[in-house]
Amino acid sequence: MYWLDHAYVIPAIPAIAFFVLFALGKWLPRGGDWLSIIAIGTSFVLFFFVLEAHLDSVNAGLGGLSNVGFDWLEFEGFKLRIGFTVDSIAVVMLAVVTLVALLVQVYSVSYMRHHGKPEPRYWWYFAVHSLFVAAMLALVLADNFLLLYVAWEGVGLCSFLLIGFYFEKQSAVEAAKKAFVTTRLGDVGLLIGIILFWRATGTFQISEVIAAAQAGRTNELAPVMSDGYLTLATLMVFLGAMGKSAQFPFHVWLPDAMEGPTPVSALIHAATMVVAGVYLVARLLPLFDVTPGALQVVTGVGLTTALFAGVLAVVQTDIKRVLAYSTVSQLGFMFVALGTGAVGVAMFHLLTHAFFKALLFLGSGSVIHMTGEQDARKLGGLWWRMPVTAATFTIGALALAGIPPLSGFFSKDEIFVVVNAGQSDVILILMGVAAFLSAMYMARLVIITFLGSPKDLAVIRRAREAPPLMVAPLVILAVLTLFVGFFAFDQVGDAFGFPGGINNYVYFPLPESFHFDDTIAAATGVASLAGLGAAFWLFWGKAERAQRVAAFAPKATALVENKFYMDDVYQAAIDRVVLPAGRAVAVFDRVVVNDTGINGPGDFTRYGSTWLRRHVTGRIPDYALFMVLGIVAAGALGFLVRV
Amino acid sequence: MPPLENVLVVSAILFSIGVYGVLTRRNAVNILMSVELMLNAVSINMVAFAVYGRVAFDNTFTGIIFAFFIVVVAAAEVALALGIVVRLFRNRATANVDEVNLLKW
Amino acid sequence: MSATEVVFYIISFVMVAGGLGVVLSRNIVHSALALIMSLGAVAGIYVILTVEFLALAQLVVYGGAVIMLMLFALMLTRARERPQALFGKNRPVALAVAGGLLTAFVAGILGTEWAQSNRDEIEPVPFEEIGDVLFSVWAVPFEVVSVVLVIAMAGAILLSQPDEGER
Repeated sequence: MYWLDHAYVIPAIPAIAFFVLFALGKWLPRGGDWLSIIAIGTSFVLFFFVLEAHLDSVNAGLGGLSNVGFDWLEFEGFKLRIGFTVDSIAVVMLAVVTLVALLVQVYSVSYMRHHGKPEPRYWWYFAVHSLFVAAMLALVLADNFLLLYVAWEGVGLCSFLLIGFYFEKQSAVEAAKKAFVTTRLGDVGLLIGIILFWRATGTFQISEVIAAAQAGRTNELAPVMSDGYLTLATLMVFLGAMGKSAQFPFHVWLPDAMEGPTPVSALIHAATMVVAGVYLVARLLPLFDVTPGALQVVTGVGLTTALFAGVLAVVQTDIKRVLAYSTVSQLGFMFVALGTGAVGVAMFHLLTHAFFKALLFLGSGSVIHMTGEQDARKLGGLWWRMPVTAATFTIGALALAGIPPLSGFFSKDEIFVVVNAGQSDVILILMGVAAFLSAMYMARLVIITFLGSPKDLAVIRRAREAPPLMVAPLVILAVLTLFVGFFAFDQVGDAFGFPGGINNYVYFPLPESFHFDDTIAAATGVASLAGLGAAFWLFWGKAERAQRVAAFAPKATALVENKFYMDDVYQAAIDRVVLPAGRAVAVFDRVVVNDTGINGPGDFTRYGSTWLRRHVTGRIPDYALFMVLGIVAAGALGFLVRV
Repeated sequence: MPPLENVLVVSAILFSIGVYGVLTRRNAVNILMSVELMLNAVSINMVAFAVYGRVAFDNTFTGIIFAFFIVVVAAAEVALALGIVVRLFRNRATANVDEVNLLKW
Repeated sequence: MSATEVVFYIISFVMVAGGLGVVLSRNIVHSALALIMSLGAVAGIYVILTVEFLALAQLVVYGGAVIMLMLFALMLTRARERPQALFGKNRPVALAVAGGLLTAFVAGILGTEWAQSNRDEIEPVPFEEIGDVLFSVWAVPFEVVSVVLVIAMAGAILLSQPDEGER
């Protein structure tokens, strides 16, 4: 049980690495990348100890939960606690974060070098990476809202720093700003929700808040919060999840975040940070369960996002943007699963998605690194020049598309099973459309990038297979993608020590086993294959059919290609509302606060003294007059006081 | 005998004239003359109160004694003040108070 | 209106006229003479108020000494030879202040119920008793005043010393 209670060491080690790198990184040999990798590797190894301790505890019937911490600050009605809790959800997240982070960092050693020379600020990249990992792990293990919020902001900060890593590029700077500001909107919601919960319950502990919400609704205690209050607070917290996980309408930052280095995109914007929202909702699902209307909102948002992003992904020309929209769409799938109340299914999809999305991003990074080109319109025919990359990328793409027996198929199938059981048929059909789209855009991407004939000969001549440090993570992830799906089966899970399979393991509140529903499986398989087929039909070769379809409905095409003008709408809103408001406040600050409030007494003293000084004329008649006036005033005052 | 108020009003008129003179006139000696006027007005006031209220207020002569002392002190004061004026004239060749403003800011 | 009252009003008229002469005259020497007239009238008022000794003291000190001093000072500062501006720039303000003061005083005087009696006849002031009081109750101020006079004399002598370097 030791490691169960000391799981906080896992985030602590990368945190220490960050501080060391921050202070000394510039002077360490090789920029300190080995330090960062050792730290994350250690955390990964420690994860297995925690896993073992956790499974032992579960198998012993102890529930496998742990909560350690200390009260950092306490005064009336307010308690700041640094506490860490380990449960099954946390264990899954630990696995994902440490493993993917390790692979990405190893990959980065090769990616962040050009012809053997490291990029400028190489050490800073690894430092922020370590900080990010530490923050993300702390977020996952936090047992109270405040620590969670601090870690939440921490990952946001690291995302900002890494997106803007190439800050010489104006577009990167803009993208970093956009990411930070957009998630900020969500974070404000999260903070408001936290404060609302604290006002009602007096505590920041997640478990206590959940208990307070359940009081009066699922047990016999008196209710602590009214329905409206609870709904408001819960939806505010969900706003935070929406922001971080780039759900509609907060999705606009994720495609732009591709300005950062590709390994960053793989780690932060595919596997870890963006799933923080999913994680939050998963952990708070008992709360969402008892909040009227919350689950419907979650489902609605997830569904909208899944479809919206899926449509947009079809027309993107930049490799990474396709993957970004795909991430947004897949997160929508996870939220739909959560909205149906199936935490296990959502976490399973989170797990598989982390692997194959990281794989896809790293593969695209390999392409970008070796060809120097991100625009898919200039690529093509890379299969023979970069076979390993192409093969692993295809595996990832097929997993995303939901082709059996890859892991993506199983997790997506699970989602459909629960949606079929718990939601209306309309939602089921719409999800099917989303699945169709996901297959289509991934196939399109593979076709355009790797298959067919090259569109730009200069590019093709440059391309060759990536160096081993980049290829190895690809292969490892591909293997995982191939086999992780089978964890869904109870037998496999049992064999590995997860009693009852992974769905039983990550259990809340509905224990469920893996359902293999033949009809659903067949239906999803058909949808995926249809998507693949449609992609081949439209985009093979010179893609004339795609162009004809586009020409058939030019306005619709323009709408989609411009991302439904959402960015323009936001920019207009900022220009017309936020900036003028800011300017008005600035004017108020300058005129009222600064000039009048702060400079005012000083100016008053200065001008007043100058005015007074002029009365010292040195002339006797003036002094006589002042004397008389003074006496008269004193007399009047005395008279008034007496009367 | 005139009513008390009338005597007091007369003294007030004299006092106001004295104030006007102090504020307006430019020659130093002239100003001193106005000050004398004010002092005398006050004297009349004191004496009037003492005389009219002597019987009602236990035979006290305070106002009259006051007027005596005013006379004496005013004389002493004028002596010294005129000494200063003469001295001023010796140094600055002017007795006009407008021109004595070295203490100007 | 008794004869005393009439006399009082005539004398006060003279007094006020003298005062106006002091503050309004263009010629300084005329101002000084108007001052004599005014102070003499004050002495007259003292007589009406039955404090004749004070009237005598007033005439002797003011009319005999103070005015002499002022006339000497006027002579020594060559007041008549150099006609300088007699009136200052702040006449309206001064007028307003003086007028305001007068109004306030008159309003106060006329509005108050004076406890002193308002009789046609007052009892004359017994002068012997003033002498007693002056040297018994008011002995200390009396002595102090004599010290003041000594200081004034010393001061006057000091002020009349020649400057350094003057012959």
